[in-house]
Amino acid sequence: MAKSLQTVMNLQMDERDHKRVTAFPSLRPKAAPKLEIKNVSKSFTSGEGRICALSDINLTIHDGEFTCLVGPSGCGKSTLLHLIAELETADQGEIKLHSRKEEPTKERGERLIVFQESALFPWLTVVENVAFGLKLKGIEYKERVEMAMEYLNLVRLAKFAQCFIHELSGGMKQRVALARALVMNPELLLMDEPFAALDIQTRENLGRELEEIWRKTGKTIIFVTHNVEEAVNLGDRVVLFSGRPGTVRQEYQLAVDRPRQKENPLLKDLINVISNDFKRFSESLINEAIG
Amino acid sequence: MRSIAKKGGFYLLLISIWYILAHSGLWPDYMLPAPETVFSHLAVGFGSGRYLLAIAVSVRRILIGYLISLGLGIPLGLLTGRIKWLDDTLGSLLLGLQALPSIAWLPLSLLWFGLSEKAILFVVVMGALLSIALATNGGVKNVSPLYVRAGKNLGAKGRTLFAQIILPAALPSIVIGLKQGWSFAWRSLMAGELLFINLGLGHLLMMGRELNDMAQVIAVMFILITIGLVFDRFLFSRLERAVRRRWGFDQG
Repeated sequence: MAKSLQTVMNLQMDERDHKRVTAFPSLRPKAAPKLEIKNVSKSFTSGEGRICALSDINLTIHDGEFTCLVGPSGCGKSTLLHLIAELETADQGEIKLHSRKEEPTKERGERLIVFQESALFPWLTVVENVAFGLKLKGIEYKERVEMAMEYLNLVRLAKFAQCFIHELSGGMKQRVALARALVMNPELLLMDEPFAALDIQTRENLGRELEEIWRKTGKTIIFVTHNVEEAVNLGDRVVLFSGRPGTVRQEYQLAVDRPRQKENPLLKDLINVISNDFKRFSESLINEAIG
Repeated sequence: MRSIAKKGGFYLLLISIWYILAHSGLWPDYMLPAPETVFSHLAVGFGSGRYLLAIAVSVRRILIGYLISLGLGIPLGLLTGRIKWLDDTLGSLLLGLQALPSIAWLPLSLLWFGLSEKAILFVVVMGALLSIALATNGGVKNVSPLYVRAGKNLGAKGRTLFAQIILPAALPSIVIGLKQGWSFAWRSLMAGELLFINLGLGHLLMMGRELNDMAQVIAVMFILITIGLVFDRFLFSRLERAVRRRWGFDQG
């Protein structure tokens, strides 16, 4: 391992035997907890019987933090995101959101997901799509179009406001999906492999745009990906999952300077470390399965 | 402009061939009337108002029947599409009845309603109703769960979810059903008018045959084609184009 990384990593063991790897002692004071996931488990029934998707997940997300959930396909990270978004309910455990509001209402539209397939509505124009959530909240036409245009400007697609979804490229669709989520000013922004279906160049560009938007808006983001490099380039923290059943295997604090530079050797080392752990956990899974 | 010239040229050629064949003496008059005879029939028929009356009668019947089918079919489709036990019961009945050619309803209809307008209306309604209901049903059932998830995540639920997400998402399928229903309704109408019912274009068609007046038969066929094209151009093609404008070509 590179010496630079060695001098800088502190391994800490806590009672649960989770290893925490920190790169630099944290330079920022720890922000308040935003989301607490406690002892969450979720199973599904399928043809083969009961499949345990998530087993005893414990995780704390802090306010304004950019957290990346990394793991192989089928390891339950998308399921966890759906639980956080309240699209499904956990079998066990609780997920507690610390609202910024005085009296948190049981309102919807506070934990918004950007899906991999953008899920934009083809019967609406771009601006109507972005304003959709606002319309559900009962906001007047003029006001919601204004707000929608503000966020379309943020993702640099204001010119395409009157276009229909099929006229957009994949990258543009994801930017519209991002605007649609952000315009609602949600407590949490959840992203489920949003760039997975895009080509590498678009992925990188959108990643950088996302980072910039995050810095401007200060949103708490939970970003799911199976791409370690992407996670390291974007996240304050990377949480590594392994699957069947899905469990948290390792967490990594990344207090690396932003904006993240691809050539930064520290990043490269981190990518190697996490990738090796990723492979290690996946292999042990395969070995277990083969038995 | 060029495509109009091409089309015009093509049809002119067809008429010329027809003219030649008709005057060639290969077939007697009552099998292949000459084009000019047919045109003169059209002129006389329209001049006397006979054809206009027949058109009015037929179009009125199909419009009333089709609107009834819409009023019944779309709600039926929506309900069976959304409510599982309704789909399993009523929906299966609709599927079964669809296999029945709508003209098969005519004997039953005559028995129930006698030789009346109601009888022909019933047959027209049965022609369109099932297509519309089943297409609506399919459209609602096949709404991508991704749209539903996204809608719920943004805060839609219950009736709002249905009206703002499921209904618009089902629209392309519904439009296809509307077009198919119209086509079936029209066929049922013609069959009914041909066989039993007075007035209307089908009746004119049948009269032409009974009087051995082939020119009338072909004249009425022309009218039928024209009506079909008019409705398609000013109604259904417009609808399809509107759907395509929004959805693009992938209307899954």
